[in-house]
Amino acid sequence: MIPYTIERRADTGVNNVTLGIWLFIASEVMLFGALFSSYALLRVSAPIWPHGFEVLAVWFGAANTVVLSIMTALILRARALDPRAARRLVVAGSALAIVFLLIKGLEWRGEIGNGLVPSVNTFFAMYFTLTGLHALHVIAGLVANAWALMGASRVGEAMTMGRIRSLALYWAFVDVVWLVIFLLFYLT
Amino acid sequence: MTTRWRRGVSAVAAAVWCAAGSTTLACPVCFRIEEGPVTSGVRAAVVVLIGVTVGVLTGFGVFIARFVRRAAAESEP
Repeated sequence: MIPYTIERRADTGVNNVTLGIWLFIASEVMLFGALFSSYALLRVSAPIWPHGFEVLAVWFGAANTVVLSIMTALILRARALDPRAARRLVVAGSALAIVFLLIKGLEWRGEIGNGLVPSVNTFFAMYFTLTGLHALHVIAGLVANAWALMGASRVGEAMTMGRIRSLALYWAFVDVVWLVIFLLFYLT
Repeated sequence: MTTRWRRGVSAVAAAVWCAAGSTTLACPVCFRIEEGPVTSGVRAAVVVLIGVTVGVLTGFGVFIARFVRRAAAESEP
């Protein structure tokens, strides 16, 4: 059994939680990598591929890019603060993640209302698959944030800060995936 | 794995490679189609997936190398 410790191990240089989150992120990279590979296949082999900036609401995408980047910066900043201030930043970050989901929901509503559904073409099939999977990751991150905040009084400050540090890695990954999606779907 | 065993496996792999010829190299999606949109698409997809896989494996390699270095430093008297 792997002991639940928050101290850095001398042999690895990281604690078990950080090592676990890195392994999880590696598996997530492979998941999104397979989908980006499918995107490359469909895009290169398609005779016609629409420009994202012509069919999507780029302003929604740009707003979401700003929101998610600020959110990630807040959580990354929280790692270096005292536990109370760190928890406040996680709350603020969670609020921004909810804003991201609301903007995304508005964007999807407009697209679906205009008949731009996954069955229209492979562009929209990939768009809804990747943005949908990404949104699920944002929801999972929100659940994890709530779990870390609600368990803070029970597990103590040291363990809560360990969880916040792991969450920061996760949110940085979610932000990078969004930047790639924004580049591939909205700007090209 | 012994040297003899390794040589045996290499010889069998070489024999299969020579006997099978182009069939072993052919992609089941673009079989016998040298150029075309589907071939280009499959090629791009493979490049992306190889890039992602190499990136992840490089990360694992760096992690493992770091562990080995630290473990060696720890075991030194």
